Amino acid sequence: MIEIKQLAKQYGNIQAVAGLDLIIDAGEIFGLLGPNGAGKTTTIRMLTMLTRPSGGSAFINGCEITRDLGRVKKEIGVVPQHINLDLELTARENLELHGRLHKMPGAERRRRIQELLDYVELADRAHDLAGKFSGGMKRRLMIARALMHRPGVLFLDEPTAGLDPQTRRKIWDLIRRMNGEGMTVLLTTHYIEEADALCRRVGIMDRGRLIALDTPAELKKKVGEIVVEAHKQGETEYRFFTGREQALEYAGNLTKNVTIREADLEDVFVELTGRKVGD
Amino acid sequence: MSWYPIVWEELIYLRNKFWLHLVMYTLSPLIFLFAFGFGVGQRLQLMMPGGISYLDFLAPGMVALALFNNGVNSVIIRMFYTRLFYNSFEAYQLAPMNSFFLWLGYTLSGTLRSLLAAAVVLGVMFLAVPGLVLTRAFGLAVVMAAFCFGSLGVCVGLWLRSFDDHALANEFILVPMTFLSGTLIPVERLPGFLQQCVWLFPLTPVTELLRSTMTERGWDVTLAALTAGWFVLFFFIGWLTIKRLGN
Repeated sequence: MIEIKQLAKQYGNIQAVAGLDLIIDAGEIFGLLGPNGAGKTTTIRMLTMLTRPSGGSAFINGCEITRDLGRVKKEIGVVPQHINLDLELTARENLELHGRLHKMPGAERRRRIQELLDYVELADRAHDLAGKFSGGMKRRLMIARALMHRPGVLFLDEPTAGLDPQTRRKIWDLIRRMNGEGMTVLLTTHYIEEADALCRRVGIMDRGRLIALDTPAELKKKVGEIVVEAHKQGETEYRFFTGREQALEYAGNLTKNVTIREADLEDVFVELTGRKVGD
Repeated sequence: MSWYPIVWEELIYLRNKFWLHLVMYTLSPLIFLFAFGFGVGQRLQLMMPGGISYLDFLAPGMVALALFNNGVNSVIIRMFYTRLFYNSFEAYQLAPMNSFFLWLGYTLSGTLRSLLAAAVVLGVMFLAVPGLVLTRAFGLAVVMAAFCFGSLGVCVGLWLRSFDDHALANEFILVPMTFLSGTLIPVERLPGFLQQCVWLFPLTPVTELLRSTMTERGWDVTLAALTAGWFVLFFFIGWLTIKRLGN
């Protein structure tokens, strides 16, 4: 379980995260959505203590992040946005290093490495240098490394950024499997469909604040489940409706090119922030 | 033993490119030996204090240089790339290891490289300088120096923010120390004002300590205290900087 109270980070005059309050239940997959600079990564960096908060507090499985740092580090696994493997070590050596850093006994370490290499389907590449791996393989190895010491909470910062659709789905399956085994997952993403497919609840961040928090279905209901897109001279207008009939009636009165479809999280995001997720 | 994984990683790097490192450690002492020892050194004989041969003067200087260059550079490069480019330094920050052991691991990695390079240089020197005698005091001085330079590498490595900083460290710290710390030319033969200034370099007391332990002068308490003092200073700077990472 993750409990965040008034968590804040200030860089000079810039308020990267402004008093975030959030509770993520044990065993939940929670998604943080937001445009670049919304404060998602800073939130994860504070929760993992890579960045010291300017204010507020947070508890991970009951341990306060600044006071019980040692215990927190044992409780969490982290997969950052960027590749942070040692590219001069093999896949097995990267996991071995992580196991040693977490003081895992030799026999358990070896058993766990084999188990995880099988889990992320890299067993046949165990002795290859991580630097020779594709983006998707590196990401899978990073997930294996984060799981090495059996954490209870996993932080995934843009886990599928820059990956092809097939690899992305492979990683989604991995995340579902980990969650199925009882792990709490906090993930940030730019990909709306990723949040929709994986997360029980979603928080939308903008300019350091949490501006919406609910299940994807409820968020869509709030803005209207049906969208009418009206296209004219390169511009698109969006109107949201609670029912299909209302949408059809509205569209019938328009002379522009129109599309009627179900709302997605991107629509929720645009409606709430006036911006697209990738902006 | 929380520090050990950092040293273990260093041992893997060394194992993967063992022959390359061996050649690297051998090449620079050979270049200095041919250029200074057998080349211009013959003409520097008149400059030697106490009438010792230039090769006898050069041997501890070469060991000091090997300790310094490899101890400092190996840590600087590792910290520079793992912190700023590969981000793999984060793996250590995320591990349940306190800042002291993180400092110690990197310092010991530099110490290890420093000692390996010194061992190779000593091997070369034994072949080139007949009658070279090693004492326990010399061994102790070598270990102290290796620690000192490993911890200096951590300080500089943590300070670097860009390639320009790296070049600055090279030009303003490493190169002046290499040539002015009594390694290749006696401190007494430097211009007057420099003779005092070079004692602000940590390499100067180390070189002189190694030299004194290789001769009948033996262990010099003042030089050993200066070396230890530098080590303590580098320890505090490095450790406190690591503690403040993430602020």
